[in-house]
Amino acid sequence: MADSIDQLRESFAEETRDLINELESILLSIDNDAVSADVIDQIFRNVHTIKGSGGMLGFEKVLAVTHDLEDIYDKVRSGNLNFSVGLKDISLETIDILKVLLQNKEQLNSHDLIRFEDLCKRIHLFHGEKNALVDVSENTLVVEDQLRSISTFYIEFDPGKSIPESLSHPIHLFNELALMGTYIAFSKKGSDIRMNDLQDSDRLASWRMILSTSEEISAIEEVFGWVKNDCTVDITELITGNLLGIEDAKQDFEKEKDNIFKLSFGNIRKIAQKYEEVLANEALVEEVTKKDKVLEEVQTSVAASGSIKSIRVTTDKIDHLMNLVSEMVTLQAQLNLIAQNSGESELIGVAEKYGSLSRQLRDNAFTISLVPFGITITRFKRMVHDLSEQLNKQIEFVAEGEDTVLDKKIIEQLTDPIMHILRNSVDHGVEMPDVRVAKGKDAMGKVTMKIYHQSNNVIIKIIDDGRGIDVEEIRKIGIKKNLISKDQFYTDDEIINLIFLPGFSSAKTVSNISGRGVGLDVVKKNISEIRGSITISTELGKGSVFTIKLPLTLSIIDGLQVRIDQRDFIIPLFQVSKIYTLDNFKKEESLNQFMILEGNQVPYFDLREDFSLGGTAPERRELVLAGYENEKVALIVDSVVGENQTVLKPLGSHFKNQDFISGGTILGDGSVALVLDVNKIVTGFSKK
Amino acid sequence: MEELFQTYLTFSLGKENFAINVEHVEKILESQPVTEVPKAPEYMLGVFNLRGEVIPLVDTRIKFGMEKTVVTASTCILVITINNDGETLKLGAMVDSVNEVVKYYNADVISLPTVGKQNKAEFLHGVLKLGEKFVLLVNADKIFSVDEIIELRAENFEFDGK
Repeated sequence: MADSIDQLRESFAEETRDLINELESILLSIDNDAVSADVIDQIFRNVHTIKGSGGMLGFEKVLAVTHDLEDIYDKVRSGNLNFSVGLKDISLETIDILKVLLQNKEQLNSHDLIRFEDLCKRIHLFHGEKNALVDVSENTLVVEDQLRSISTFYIEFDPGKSIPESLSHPIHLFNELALMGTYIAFSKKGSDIRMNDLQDSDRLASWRMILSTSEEISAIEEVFGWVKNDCTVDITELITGNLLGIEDAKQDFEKEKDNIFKLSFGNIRKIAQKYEEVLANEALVEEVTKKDKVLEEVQTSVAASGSIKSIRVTTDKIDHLMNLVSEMVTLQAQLNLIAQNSGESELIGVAEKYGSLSRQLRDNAFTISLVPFGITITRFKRMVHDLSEQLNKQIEFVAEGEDTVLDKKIIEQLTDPIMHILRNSVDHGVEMPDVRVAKGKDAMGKVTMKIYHQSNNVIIKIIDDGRGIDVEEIRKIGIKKNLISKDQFYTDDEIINLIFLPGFSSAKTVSNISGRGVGLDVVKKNISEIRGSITISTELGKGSVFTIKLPLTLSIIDGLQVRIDQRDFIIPLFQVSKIYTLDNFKKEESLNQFMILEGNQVPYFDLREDFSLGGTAPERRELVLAGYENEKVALIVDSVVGENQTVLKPLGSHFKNQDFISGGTILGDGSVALVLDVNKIVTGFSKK
Repeated sequence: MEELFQTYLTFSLGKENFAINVEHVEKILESQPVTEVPKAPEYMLGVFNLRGEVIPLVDTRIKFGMEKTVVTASTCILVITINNDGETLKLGAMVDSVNEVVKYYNADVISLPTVGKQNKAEFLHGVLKLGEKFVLLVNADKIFSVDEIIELRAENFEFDGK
C-alpha cells in the first residue's frame, strides 16, 4: 500500500508539473489590464486541482501555499477582487515554489524554506487574514541562525568568592564554549597563567577567552546562565569575522599572554582591529562561498534524497538504448562462439561472464520501457461508476495490483478490450439490486480487477459476482446460429468460448451498452494482436472471471526459427502448436489448399510458394501447425532450426503492405530474420 | 531567414548525377548483407542490420526509374533520415557511387518549371551545374516517402541552361 501511495504521489507530481507549466504560461500571457473571466476561471481550476489532489495525498506544503491562492482567485472569479500585477507576481512565485516542492517532495533546504514561508505569509496578507497556516516566525529564526556568519568575542570571567560546590566546575563551561568554535583561553590563578589548558585549571581561576563562533552572543551568555549570580562574566563582541582563523592574529594574542589580564578591552580590540581589513575581505569571499553552498545544498538535497524518482525520457531514446543493448547481446553470442572454438579457457571464462552481464543489462533495459498499469485505471473506475448509475445498479469496483508494470504499447492497446469486458460485467453480469437481494446476495455487486505477474506474463482478471453465464443458453444460441452442431458433444468450456466467436451476441435485449455490434470476438482479436489470450470461467449464479494473459513486453519474442531457401524466418512460439515432418508433399494431392492432419482438415500455406521465393523445395520438408484455438493453419517450410528469443523490431512504413511480416529480428550471426504474423498470413493470403 | 548556401553530397546512378542535402545523410556504408522481404516492391531490396537497428534498403536506381543496381566495389549505401508527415524514417539508399560534398549558393540553383511534360518538380529542389555536368538536387523527404517509382533523369526535365 505504501508503494502505491508513493506511486500516486509520483504521478501527482508529474500531473501537477504539467498543470503548473500550464498555469505559468497562462499567467505569462496575461495582459494585466484586460483579463477575461475565462482565463481567471482556468487559473482557478488549475490552482484548485493542484490544491485538491495535493491535499489528498498529504502534500501539506503544497496545500498550504495553494489554499489561500485558491480563495483569492475565487474572489477574483466572483468579481469581489480585481486581478492585479501583485497577484500575478505572487502567483508566479507560487509556481516557482511549487516546482521546488514537487521536485524535493516537500523537503526544503533552509534557503527555500525561507522563501516558502515568506510567500505563505505574503499570500496570507494578500488574502487579508491574520493567522498564518504555518507558524512562520519560529522556523525562520532557526534558519537564519544557520546562515549567520562568524564573529569573534572576548570573554572575561572572574569567579566569585564562592562557586557553590554543587555547580559544575567552570572549566565545563569553557569546554562548552570551546565546542562553539575556535578559541584561545588564558586562565590565571595567582601569578600562574596557563594557556588553552581547559582541563587542568583551578575552580577559582580567572579566565580570558577569545572565541570565534557562528553562535550569537545570547547563546554564549546562556552557557553562563548557571553561574552569573556568583561570578562576573563579561562578553563583548570584539570584531566581526573569524579572527582566530588568521594565524598572525592568534600569535599576536599569544605574545600578550603574560599581559592579557592587565590589558583593557580597548587594547585587546586594538589588536583585533589590525585585522579588520583582512576580515572584511574574507567576509566577501565567504558570502560567495555561502551562495555556492546553498546551491550545492540544493543539488545534493535533490540528489541525496533521491527526490527525482522518475524522469521523462522520450521513447526514441529508449528504443535506441534497446537497439544498442540487443546488438551487444548479439555480439556477445558471436564472442562466445569464437571463445568456444578457440578452446582457451581464460577467454571462455571472460566471454561467459560478459554474456551473463549483457543479458542482465538487456533485461534491465527492457524494464525501462515498462510502466505501471495503474495509470489507466481511473478511466475504468469512471466507466463502471457512470454505467452502474445509468443502469440503476449498485456496483463496487476494486482494482488490485495497479502497480504491476507492463509494456506501454500493451497498455495502450488493452484499454478498449478491458472497457468492453467491464461493460459486459456491469451490464450482463451484475444483477439489479432487488434480484441480488432475492438471491440472498448483497445488493451491492462487486467487480474486481486483478493484475499480477506470472513468470514472463502479465495476468489480468476481471471478476464479477453476478449471475454468471448460462451454458445451456449459450448452447441454444450456438445451435441456432449454426456455430455448433446439435448432435455433437461439446464440453462446457467449448460452449462458453462460443461467445468469443464473431456474430455471437447473447444479450436478449439489445441495450445501448453492450449490444453495439462490437462483440467479444473483437476483444479477443485485439488481445491476440498484442500476443495475448483470453479465457473465461463462470459459475451460474455466482459470477464470471475473464482472464487475459499477456506477454510482459511486445518487443521480446520467443520464436521458432524456420528456414526456407536459405532464408530465416521466425514464427512466434505462442502461435505454434505442433511440428510435423512432411515427405514428398505434392500440392496435387491436396484439396483446395486444405490438407488432412490427424483427421482434421487444415488450410495450409506453402510459404516458399506464397512468398514467391523460387527455387525447388527439398523432398523432406517440415510443417508447422500454427494459429490459435479454433483456427489452425499449416505452414510448410524447408526446415525447423530451433527456438530462439529475440527482439522484435518494426520494419517501418516502407513495408506497410507486407503486414504478414510483423517485424525483423537480428540473429546471432548479425543477419536479419523476418518475424511472421500468422494471423495476417491467414487473412491476407486466403483472400486472393 | 533562409540560408545563403547549402551543402550537398553528390552521388551517381549510372551516368546520372544526383545530390542529397547532407542534413539527411547519417552514414555511408559499403554494401551490406540484405534480408529480402517477400512480396515487397522491386525497389525495396529488403532490410539490413545497422548496429541493432533494422533498416529498410531502397534500390535507388529502380526507385528513380532505371535498371536495377549491380553491386560493384564502388556501390554504397547512404543511410538517410527523412521526414514523412512529422514521422522520421530511416532508410538505406543504395547508389552506384558517392562522389563529393559540394557547397553552393542558393542563387546558383536552376529551378525547375512547376509545369512541364512530366511534373516531377516537387521531387527535386532544383538543378545545379557543376562544370559540364548537371546535378539533380533530390528532395529526399518527398521522393523516399512515396510508394512509387519516380522517373528522375535530367533528360526528363526541362530547365534553363540545358
